[in-house]
Amino acid sequence: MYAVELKGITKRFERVVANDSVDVEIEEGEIHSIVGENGAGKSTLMKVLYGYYPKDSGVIKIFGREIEEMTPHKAISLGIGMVHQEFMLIPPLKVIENIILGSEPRKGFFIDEKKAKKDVSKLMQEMGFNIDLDIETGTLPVGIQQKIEILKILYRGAKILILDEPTAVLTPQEVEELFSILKNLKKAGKTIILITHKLQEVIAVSDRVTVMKEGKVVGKRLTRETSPEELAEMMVGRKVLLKVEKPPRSRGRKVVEVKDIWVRDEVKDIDIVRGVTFDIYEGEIVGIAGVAGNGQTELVEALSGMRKIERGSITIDGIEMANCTPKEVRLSGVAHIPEDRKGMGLVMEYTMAENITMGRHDRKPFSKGITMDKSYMLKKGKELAEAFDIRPPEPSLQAKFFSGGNQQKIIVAREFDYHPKFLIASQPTRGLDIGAIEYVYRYLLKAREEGKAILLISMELEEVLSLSDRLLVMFNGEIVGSFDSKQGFDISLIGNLMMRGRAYTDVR
Amino acid sequence: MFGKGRLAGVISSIIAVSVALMVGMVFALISGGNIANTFKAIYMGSFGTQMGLASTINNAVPLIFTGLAVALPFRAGLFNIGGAGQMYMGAIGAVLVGLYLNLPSIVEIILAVGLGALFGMMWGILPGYLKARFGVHEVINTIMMNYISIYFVRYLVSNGPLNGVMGTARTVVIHKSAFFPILWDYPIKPVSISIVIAVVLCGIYYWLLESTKIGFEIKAVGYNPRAAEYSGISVNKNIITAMALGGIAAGLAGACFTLGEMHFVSNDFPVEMAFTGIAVALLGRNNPYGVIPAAFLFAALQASNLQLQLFAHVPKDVVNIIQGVVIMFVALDRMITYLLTKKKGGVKSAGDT
Repeated sequence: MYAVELKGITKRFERVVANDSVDVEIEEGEIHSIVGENGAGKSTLMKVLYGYYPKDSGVIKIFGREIEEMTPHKAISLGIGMVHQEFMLIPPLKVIENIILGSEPRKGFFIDEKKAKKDVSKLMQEMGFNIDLDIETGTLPVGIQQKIEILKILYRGAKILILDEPTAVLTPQEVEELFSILKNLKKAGKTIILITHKLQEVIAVSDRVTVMKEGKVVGKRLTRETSPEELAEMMVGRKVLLKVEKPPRSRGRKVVEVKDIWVRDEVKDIDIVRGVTFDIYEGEIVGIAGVAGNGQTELVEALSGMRKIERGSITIDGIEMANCTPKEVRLSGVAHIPEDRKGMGLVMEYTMAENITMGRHDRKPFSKGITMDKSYMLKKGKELAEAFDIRPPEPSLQAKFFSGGNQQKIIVAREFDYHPKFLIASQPTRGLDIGAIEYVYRYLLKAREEGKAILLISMELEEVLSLSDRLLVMFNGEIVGSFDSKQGFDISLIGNLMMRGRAYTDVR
Repeated sequence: MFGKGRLAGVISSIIAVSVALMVGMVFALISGGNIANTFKAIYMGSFGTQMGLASTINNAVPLIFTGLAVALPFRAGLFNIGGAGQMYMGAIGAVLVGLYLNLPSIVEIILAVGLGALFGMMWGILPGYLKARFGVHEVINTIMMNYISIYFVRYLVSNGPLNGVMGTARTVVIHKSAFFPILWDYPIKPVSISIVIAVVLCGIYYWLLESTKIGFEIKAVGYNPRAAEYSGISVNKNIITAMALGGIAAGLAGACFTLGEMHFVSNDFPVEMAFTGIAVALLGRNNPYGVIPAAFLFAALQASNLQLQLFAHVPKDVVNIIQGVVIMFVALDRMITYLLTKKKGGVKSAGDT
């Protein structure tokens, strides 16, 4: 008997078929990965399974029982639990409160916190967790918050756990830990469905894998009988180059010099960037590794002119650019692929052509005198759409109608088209699928070939490791380590530096 | 580069107006009228007679201006409630020229209109500056600016230096040379060149928004200020620019009303025109051309007040009800869109994890 059996599931949104007659069988007590590019329909399928979306047709069977009309409520009572990519925890509440929220044990009119704590402690013991239940949830690192999410669904008696991109926010150590948790859960007889696009993880942890592409299942494999290459090819529909080929380059002229810069976060009243110093040379990719929230965002904002620095100096080609406006920074030859694609990189209501014009709209040939040259904008849009394979190649389409990967390509195309001396790429592949990631890597390496100085900030350790010529580790606003690719990267040391000095109570 | 949402906006506006008319009819029936007569009265009072048409046009002019005064700043993400104050300042600017200068008509009119626009602009720039420099919310400070200018103008015309007729609260009539030329000399309600200025301003503002760097920056700031700032567009500069453009439009409302219709300024200068402008901008989807039909709709409803009472025996409040429902339905735009696109057995409400 299967724990979950989906037969012929079809789900349409308007004219888009998100799931096209999908069959998936998940055996009881296995870890089953569902992989596919963005928009392949993995999340939709899970939301149909969980009852967020009503299915248009098909059959859902849970432990052999056919469920006519699934709702989240029914899903919970059937023992299905879901850990979302974005945690559904309420930060100011205590850990225990978050865990029992919605299914609180009661004693008359009041919540029986004693019983709740006893039950949760027992659960933690079984799982080998050690989390202080009285701490404010929001103060804990994401790795712990994820454990709380898992506890929360176990507390509700989940037998089938769905995890949607669970490793996206974790450090390598936390990923390791999550995997051992998943293996423990499997040992305890739970069934686990893992949605991901990271193929290494699939191989590392799952028993079987289902590959989806364009709303259909295109392959089912036993994990031990497949390889990342085969899975990638099934996902994308063509051979994918996962390995980064990085020819050695001799060091050129120094382009960027950052000296002892300090940035203050006025709201939190702390120094968020503390005395950061580094240089970048022509044709060099300098990577910054670090857990999110250790000052990388603020460092990038300072470099791009969006945030004032307290002291220190930033020079581009020997010219002091600290505390200049974003416009002045751009004019000095700095391009910036921002981490927040939707919030900063694009005006969603603007067309692709308009977005490609942003930042140089007040210059010829994009405008003449006071008026914008719309036909030039469209022509340029068309040209860049072709050069960067933006789909659909429709410059008069609003940015919001492009997929995430293509939105990113619009930004990349614009920033490359500046022909900058210095390119800041902040999380350039976040949320992209492997096809698009491969493409972004190719362009970063091309920029390197062209002799641009590149600063790459990424939460994906794998990414900075494979692309960087030099790697800096940022922790708590400081550069705590510097590595050169020529000497090879010491991954466990880097991982430790990323986590160093964290004071929290999760001791396993 | 037209947004594809524009057609949906037009359809949604038409639906709002149609539903509002139907609701209005219900009230007309309740209050003892009948539908045929009510429609006839609205039609005759607004477009069907010369008298009606003349008053509709005259009513529409200030609404076009005050509609623009809201629509333009809105495109930069700002809510300009200060139309009333800016309009009062515009009227004062125009009346100063009309009272104290006696120049060849064309020069005097240009000066009067120009000073009115300038005064309105200043009254828009000030709250814009406060927002940009100190982060004071524009809704608060434009409302405050309204009080300042309204009471300032009332002082000027009642006890102050501009009081013209002892015992009243108004200025004397401005020089004939500052009167706007009349396009259509309908008795009681002559239609002046104000309407031309209003429509031309719509054209200019549309062009500014859609074809120039100024508009490109204003809209970018309105849609996504962070993206604008990231790409080197100064958010603060554009807040001030958008408020200045709004102020100019409102200032012209005051100036054109003074020079084209009233020919003096009194303490009961119709402040509600500015507030109806908010509804006009809303119905016109903050598009300078959309403002024109929206202004005409509200103008026509106002013009048909008298006909409704006299011939359809329907209280004039029905017109206010229709206006209210229009605003409500435009505001509920997203709900209408939702109802239109809702599928059977639509998305269930999401439960907790």
